Amino acid sequence: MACLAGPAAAATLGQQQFLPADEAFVPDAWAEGDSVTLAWQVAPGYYLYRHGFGVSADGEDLAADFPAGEPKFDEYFGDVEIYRDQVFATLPAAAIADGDTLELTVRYQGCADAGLCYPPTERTLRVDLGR
Amino acid sequence: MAGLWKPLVLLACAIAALAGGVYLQQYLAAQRQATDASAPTPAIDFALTDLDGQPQSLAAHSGKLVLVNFWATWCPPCREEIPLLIELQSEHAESGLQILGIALDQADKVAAYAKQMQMNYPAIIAPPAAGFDLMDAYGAQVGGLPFNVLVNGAGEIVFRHEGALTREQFAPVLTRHLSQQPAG
Repeated sequence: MACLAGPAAAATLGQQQFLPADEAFVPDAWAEGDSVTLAWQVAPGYYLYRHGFGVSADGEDLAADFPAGEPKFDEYFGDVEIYRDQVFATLPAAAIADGDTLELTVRYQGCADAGLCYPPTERTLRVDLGR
Repeated sequence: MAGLWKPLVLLACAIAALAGGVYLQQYLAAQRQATDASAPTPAIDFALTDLDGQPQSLAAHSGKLVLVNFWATWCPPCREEIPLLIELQSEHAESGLQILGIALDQADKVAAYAKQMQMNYPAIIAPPAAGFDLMDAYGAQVGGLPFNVLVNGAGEIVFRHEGALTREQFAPVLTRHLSQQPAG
């Protein structure tokens, strides 16, 4: 693969190569007891905004608990929080409807340190609740 | 022993040659791709409206060197490069440079930011879906912002760049293409 990377990288006017959004940010979700854990793997050099997250099911917004993030000052938004590497959030049992499976819509938005931001991304995750 | 080594050496050479051939083929394919990507390609036109309600299109600036800058207020690197774009517009307007900022954003947010920054080039509003489709048509690879496309006076894309521009990397490109603009 190293052989392939050389010429291909040189092909784009020597500019920074950015990952597609689905490789920069990989969402996942699974049941854990009565709650659901949401997880995002974040590629090195990329980050997600805490204020950019959203979780919904059947068109209803759900309140997921996110941990405190890394503080970041943005001259436009002010003080914001970001996540690097990985972030885990919890969807409490009270937020989860009855049923064997849960189809979640997750929204998130992030950027690359090298100077590129992705538009808000929306993905659907199906969770087996094991009931 | 010599009789045993000879076929092994030949086999090793054959494998090396095959691997080299495969690599060369992939390298040449990548080079062709690079040539294609950097060769001028026609830029499709768009019909959008700027903050002043004026229709904006590439055709309206035909003959000029047009830098189309896709951006949004929620995008920090987009905001960081706007002072540079304002400077470039001031410095090269008389040489035939026209910057068009296409914001994939809400008009009120763009208007407030454009006023704050005293943007000296049109701030054009695009519905995000249409804006990202246009970026795709202009050759964006990952669909992130900012995305810059330079269109020459003949309506051909001569440069595209994903991620924030810096003066150091863009100035030589701009100088070269401005020098190729017909006088007038």
